[in-house]
Amino acid sequence: MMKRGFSTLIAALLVMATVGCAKAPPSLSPAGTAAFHATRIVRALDLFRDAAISANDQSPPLISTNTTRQIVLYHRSAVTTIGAAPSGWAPVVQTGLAELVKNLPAHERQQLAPYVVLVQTLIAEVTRDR
Amino acid sequence: MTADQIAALINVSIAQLPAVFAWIRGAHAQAHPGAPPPTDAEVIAALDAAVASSVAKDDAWLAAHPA
Repeated sequence: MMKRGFSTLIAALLVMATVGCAKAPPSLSPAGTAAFHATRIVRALDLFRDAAISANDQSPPLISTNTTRQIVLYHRSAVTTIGAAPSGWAPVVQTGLAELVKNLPAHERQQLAPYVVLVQTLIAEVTRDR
Repeated sequence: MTADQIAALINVSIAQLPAVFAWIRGAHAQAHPGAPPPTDAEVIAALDAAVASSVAKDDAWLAAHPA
């Protein structure tokens, strides 16, 4: 359990250090820049979903299967939206994340908070840089 | 976890490779300005690959954990 938690922490730090700090190459068109930033958000959402799945895999589970299902369903919807509209996904993804977090049990919300903050921070950065 | 589920996860990991390579190429290009920057087509393809592999992993988990 400690080992898995440590691996997750390392993964989170790597993503924050790399995906979180990336600037789009200036050679890209607006569509290319939007796709570049959208890919960063997909990666951050993947980390959020993977953390939930890992927590659910623990024995005993740190997060219930029902909560994990809600997160996976949100993730699927958010990522599909990003793929369909690389320039206009932000309001839908932000609202969906806020709604998801609001409905989580308090102790599960606390465990997932670092990943939620990561996604929210990246979305804020990407929408600010446009 | 069954062999089918493990096989599905391995397939997802393999499907992510193009996106990972495109990201590494992009990061390398930023660290080494002399290298050619990624094109729009490469970046858009990387997004498509990331979305496809990401959704596939969601579907694999949902199939393994029916409501």
